[in-house]
Amino acid sequence: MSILYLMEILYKPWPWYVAGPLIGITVPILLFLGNKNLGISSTLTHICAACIPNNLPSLKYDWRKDSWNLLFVAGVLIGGFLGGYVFANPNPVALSASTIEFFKSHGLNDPKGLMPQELFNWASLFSLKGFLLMIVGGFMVGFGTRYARGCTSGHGILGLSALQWPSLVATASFFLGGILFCRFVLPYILNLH
Amino acid sequence: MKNLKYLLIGTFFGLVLTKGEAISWYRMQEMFRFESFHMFGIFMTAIPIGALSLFIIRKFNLKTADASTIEMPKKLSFRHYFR
Repeated sequence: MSILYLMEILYKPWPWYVAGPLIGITVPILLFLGNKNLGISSTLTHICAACIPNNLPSLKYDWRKDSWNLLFVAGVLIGGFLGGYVFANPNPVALSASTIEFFKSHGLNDPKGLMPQELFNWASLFSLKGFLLMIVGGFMVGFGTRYARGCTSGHGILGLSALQWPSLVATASFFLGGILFCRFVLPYILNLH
Repeated sequence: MKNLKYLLIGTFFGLVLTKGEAISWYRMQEMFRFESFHMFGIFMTAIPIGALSLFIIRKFNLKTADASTIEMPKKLSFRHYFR
């Protein structure tokens, strides 16, 4: 295998039949190499327990026991930086025509990278639109994942793999929430100035 | 440091999530609008492979790399949520 071919694979987006199995295989890799359960959002609690001095009983536990989780998430950040920046796909995302049409009708003409630069940038953080999408959205992700005791990784991948009922309910709820939000709320937010 | 392996596994996981566009804002909108198979294809391969590997681990009572018993994900109960 030539290095050129390898570089081409790294820069191109990976199809679902490559990404899906690799995501699935992370579950047994973590079990075999460290006896650990895949999960991301519990690190939010660990970081709070580590950083915020308070007397909340729910944050009084030995977060160092779960420090592997923080390292795992630090790795996810590094991997995300590699995949989204160093080896970023130089071409527009190969979306379906109808989705591209929807984006265009809301002023998002150039679907490049992982998210629209028009929406997610430092300057728009101080506009209503950016505040809603980033600050309010971020709060809801943080609150929701801890309230549900898991995110799309913990519930959607590990929980469903372990055939857990609560994970199915959680994943179905994430999905329903997403559908409703995209249909009925997002268009209004995108039309804000 | 023995925990360093988690950094590497995390890097692998993060790279797959980004290159597979599973964390792409565009792909998520497309998924919720049911306008592409991409994300559903990821679910339909990732979850069965995770489930199959857990089944095989349980069935053959496989051990970890350092020969200890694999701890299965804790059984969740709905009661957990109503305390």
